[in-house]
Amino acid sequence: MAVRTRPRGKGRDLPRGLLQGLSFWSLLLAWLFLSWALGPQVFPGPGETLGFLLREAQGPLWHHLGITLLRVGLAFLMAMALGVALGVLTGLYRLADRLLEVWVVLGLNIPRILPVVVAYLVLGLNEAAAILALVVILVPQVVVQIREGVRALDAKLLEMARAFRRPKSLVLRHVVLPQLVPYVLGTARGTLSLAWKMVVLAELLGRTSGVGYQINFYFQMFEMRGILAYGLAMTIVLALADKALLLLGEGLSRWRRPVEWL
Amino acid sequence: MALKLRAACRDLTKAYPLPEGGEVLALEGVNLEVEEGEFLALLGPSGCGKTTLLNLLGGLDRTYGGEVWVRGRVGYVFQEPRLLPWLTVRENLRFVLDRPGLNAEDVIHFWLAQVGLEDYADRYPGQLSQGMQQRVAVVRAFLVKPDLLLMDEPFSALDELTAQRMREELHTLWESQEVSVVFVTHNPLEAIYLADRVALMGPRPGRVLEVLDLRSLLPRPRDPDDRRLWELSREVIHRLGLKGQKR
Repeated sequence: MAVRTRPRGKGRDLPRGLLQGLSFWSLLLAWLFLSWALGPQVFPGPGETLGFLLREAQGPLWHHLGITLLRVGLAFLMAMALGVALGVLTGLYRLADRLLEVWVVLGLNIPRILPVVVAYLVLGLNEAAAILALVVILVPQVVVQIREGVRALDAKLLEMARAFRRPKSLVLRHVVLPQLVPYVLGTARGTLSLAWKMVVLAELLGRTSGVGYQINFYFQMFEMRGILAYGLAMTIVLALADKALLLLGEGLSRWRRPVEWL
Repeated sequence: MALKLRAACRDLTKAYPLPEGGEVLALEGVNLEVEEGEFLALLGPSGCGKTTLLNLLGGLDRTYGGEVWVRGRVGYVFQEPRLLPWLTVRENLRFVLDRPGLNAEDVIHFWLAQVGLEDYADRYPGQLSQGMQQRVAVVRAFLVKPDLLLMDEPFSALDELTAQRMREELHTLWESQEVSVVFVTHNPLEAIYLADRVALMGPRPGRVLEVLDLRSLLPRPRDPDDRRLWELSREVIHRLGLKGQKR
């Protein structure tokens, strides 16, 4: 096995931690600059925002954050379950793919605010409408990515399992699912991120609790600190969830990293 | 006579549909018998239907004309190892066992030791060389105690040194087990070194040109450097060339 050396300049080999630090500090600097340029009344800096966030943490923050996370979690789980099932079906069977084709294309291309507004108008301003709208927005993304994963299944490995007369349950567990893991995890990260962006919109439009509602509340009050604080809190929580999914993916693909080459 | 057969095909025909309509004949009128415990090589150039014939024998393809039957359990070794990369060597071997009970570990250890890989049971395939992976694939096929072992150019992707060592290992394993082997290859020397009989196949459409019986010509044990192997190999190439062009 040939080992390729990297004929690149030393500048490209800066440690990863340093680059990440640079990325973080430049963002913070940009925030500070913006706050300085516009004035802290119009655009509060990181200090003011964090202070506001800590004060909210003594009060209603956890309540609203919890409710939003519950909505995101519910919509995410329902969309993943439905989307993975439909993705597998459309990946395996041409009939299912053709039957669902128009639905998926429509789902991918309608303005994402539309299902929210329609659900509120048809079902009323309630929890079910908000969750349903979120699921409708999320499912097509999941279907498309899982379908591609199923289509990319290694036919040679499936043939090997058939040659050894392996039962379907064993083939599903040891041959099919491990190949779908990267697709499911990749889709899960994208879906979670989209779910959180849309839930805030749904709450802003028609709920009386949650991070989106609070952002709307502080918008009415012209309180920029509140808007930024709630946005920041939600971003931190979702970034942690995303990191957890990433670590889960690395754990599940240990076999991709050989200990040593022989 | 019929009892001594492990597998057979009679007047076997296989056609593949073409995308532009019509079909192409991959095999036409193939008659072949595999005796119990014999080592049969299918030798011929690319595109003469060797793999197609093997897949029909193995039941991987079930649309054909004529008749195919196989008596007993089938083991398979493909051209590539086709190990599940997310399972360790041990788990890959357990995957093919019907009831991996308490003694499964002993059985797996025994078979890995036969090819010198007993210390690699907990490695992932990606951590093994190509030759080692193919050894695991051979072990996997023997592990299911096959009556008929189908091998599709299993050593063609390996370097010649490794390939020759594996031919010797395979020969030893075959002699120790009462298994019939159908071994597809395009390498005349390999076929002649390993096989009791060699079925010469020709292309367009794939068919068996003749079957050479080597048992009296080349008694075992055989030496890979034996001059007669080389002479027979030249003879086989000559015959393949002549007979393959007749149609």
